[in-house]
Amino acid sequence: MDEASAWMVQARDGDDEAFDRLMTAFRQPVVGTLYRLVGNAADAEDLAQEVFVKIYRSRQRYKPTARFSTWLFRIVRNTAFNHLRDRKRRPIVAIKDGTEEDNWLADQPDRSASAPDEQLAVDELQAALMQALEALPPNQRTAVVLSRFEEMPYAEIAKVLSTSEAAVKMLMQRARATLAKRLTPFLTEERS
Amino acid sequence: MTDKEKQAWDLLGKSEAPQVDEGFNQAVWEQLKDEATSARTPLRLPFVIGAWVAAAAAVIFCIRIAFWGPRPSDGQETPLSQEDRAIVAHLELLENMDTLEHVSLDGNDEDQQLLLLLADMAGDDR
Repeated sequence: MDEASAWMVQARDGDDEAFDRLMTAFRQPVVGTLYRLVGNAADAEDLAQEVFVKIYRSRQRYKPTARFSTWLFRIVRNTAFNHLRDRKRRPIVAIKDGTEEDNWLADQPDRSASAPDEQLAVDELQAALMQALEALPPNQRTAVVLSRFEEMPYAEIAKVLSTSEAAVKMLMQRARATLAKRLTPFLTEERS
Repeated sequence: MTDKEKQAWDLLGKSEAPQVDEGFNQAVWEQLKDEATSARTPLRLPFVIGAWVAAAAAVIFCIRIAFWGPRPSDGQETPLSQEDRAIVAHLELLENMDTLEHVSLDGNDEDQQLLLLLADMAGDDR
């Protein structure tokens, strides 16, 4: 049994400190994954909290048959997909008054003072990367995020997506091709 | 993987994500605490309502006892029921007035005198 699964078993048996350790260990990967899946920092943090609340509520049903991270990221994926589906049904009309933006890029420390051109390039790249990810279908996006940022093996991604390893390989191939196409302008710049 | 795909893959690694701190854990615990509180409320509510109803009934009962006294036992008549009975008897008597007018009264006792008086009174009313 991996360490996280052991903590989850302790949490299931009433040890709240073990659950707190789990949150500390996984909050950043969960928020990062959700951010890359839903494309919004505030939503990502809210959804990450929702994920941990769901896990705590269903802790009594936890059985350490698989890695804890597989179970966790399956919940993350379902939460993100539900959110994206709801957002599609009820599109949010952004009210921009020039003082506040629901955009993580806008909340970042102002690095433009030291090197405005460099900062502009970084922001532009960030926006392009997020757009490229958003252009991918949900399952491809999940596979890419888990593989690239969580370094999850294909076999585990397959469990998270409830599919086969061969299907994950196919998803990844398609996703890489789409990303390369979308990011072509930046790849050219990288070379120069 | 083509060269372009490899570059795109490497580039993707530069994607940044928001950072979270200990406040994240606290927010989750607060949510769980709020949920636990709101989940207990519906269970407590019927007991609270029941207690209020019982208290209101007790107050009403006390007021009733204080102002009108204890409830009469079976067969015991209240002053009100005695009055009702007298009114009903009087109405029945008035209904029989017509027949009294045609009754031949040979006697002289007090009952016959009373009946004659009532018959006269009924005649005056009409």
